[in-house]
Amino acid sequence: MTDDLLYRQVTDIMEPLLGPAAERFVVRQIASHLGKLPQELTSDDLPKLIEWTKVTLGLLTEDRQLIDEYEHKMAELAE
Amino acid sequence: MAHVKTKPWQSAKLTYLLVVSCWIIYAVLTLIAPQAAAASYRLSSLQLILLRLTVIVPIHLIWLIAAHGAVTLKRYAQMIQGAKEAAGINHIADGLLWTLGYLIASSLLSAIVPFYINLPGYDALVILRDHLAPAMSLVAFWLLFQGSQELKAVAKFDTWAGPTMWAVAGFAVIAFLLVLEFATAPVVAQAQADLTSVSLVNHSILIYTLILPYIVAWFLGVLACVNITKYSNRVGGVIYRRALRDVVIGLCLVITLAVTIQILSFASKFLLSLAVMPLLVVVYLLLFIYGLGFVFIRAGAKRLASIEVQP
Repeated sequence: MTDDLLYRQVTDIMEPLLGPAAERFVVRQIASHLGKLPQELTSDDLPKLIEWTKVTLGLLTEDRQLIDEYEHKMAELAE
Repeated sequence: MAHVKTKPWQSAKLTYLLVVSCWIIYAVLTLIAPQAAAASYRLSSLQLILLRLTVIVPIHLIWLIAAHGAVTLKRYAQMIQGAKEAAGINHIADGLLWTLGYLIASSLLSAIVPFYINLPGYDALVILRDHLAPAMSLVAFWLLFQGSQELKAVAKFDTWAGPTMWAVAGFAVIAFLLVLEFATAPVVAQAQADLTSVSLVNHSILIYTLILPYIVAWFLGVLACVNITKYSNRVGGVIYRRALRDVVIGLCLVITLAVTIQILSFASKFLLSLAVMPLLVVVYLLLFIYGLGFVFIRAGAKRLASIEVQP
């Protein structure tokens, strides 16, 4: 999966956490940690993206359950 | 795809500079104000100086806190420029800056007026002072309402549901009583120092130039509060909503308090003969809570901005 779809799916997973800020957050995460444009995101990038977003979300909330839920959904997407 | 611009708001320094400059002018005018203007308060010279100092210092703190809160929200709006909720937040931040402008302009004009008591143009200055407040608050509340309407398009909710109707009905009763009281109140001769537009302009004209703009402004403020609260309840994102919560509490405090302060000032100036000291205590207590509203806005806007700057 190398098109826009995967990036959209990641954004959809992020939206219950960050609402309108989700898309901007995902674009920034992909650019900063993977050095890619959103549409260049591939399944192989997901493990690294999950690790980085977990760290970043940890800076925004102390709610571990929220982060675990996010990680679970992202892991399902990566499979 | 949303793009984030990290360029800071260019006018922040100018805003602080304007606020501090206005405060210096206000402090000087207040400290050297003619004694005659305050004669009606029946205070000794020492009491008068103390009273003036207790006004000047808190006023400055509240202006600065308000400027800081509004500027922080404005910076956040600039930071998310291009996003679907950016225009709404930007208009709300502009509205907040206008509520601050209203506070500063009305304080400055009230401080300037006593110097013109025996000069030509005094009546015109009094009319300008009395009309500037509703004009500026109309702009401020229109911007807040406009911003809240733009947020409505993001979270998709209905303003006119359930509790909104009750809030509007309550507001309509207050507005009706205010107009009725104003229209039927007898014109009482006022001392030159206490002169207001009521003694200078016909009541039937003032209903359109003074009362109506106030009522429309307050109505827009109530609707803005309703929309902003509904937005915060309907918008997605647990972390985003938690960050937004303080902004919403602050905005509702600022709007409610701004309306209450205006109603009190209006009533004391045009309708009632309230003792100056209790009125001052109430107004400054309200101003303190108003300032607290901006503290909430600043805290929430910083939390929202932290979502945008995480690499």
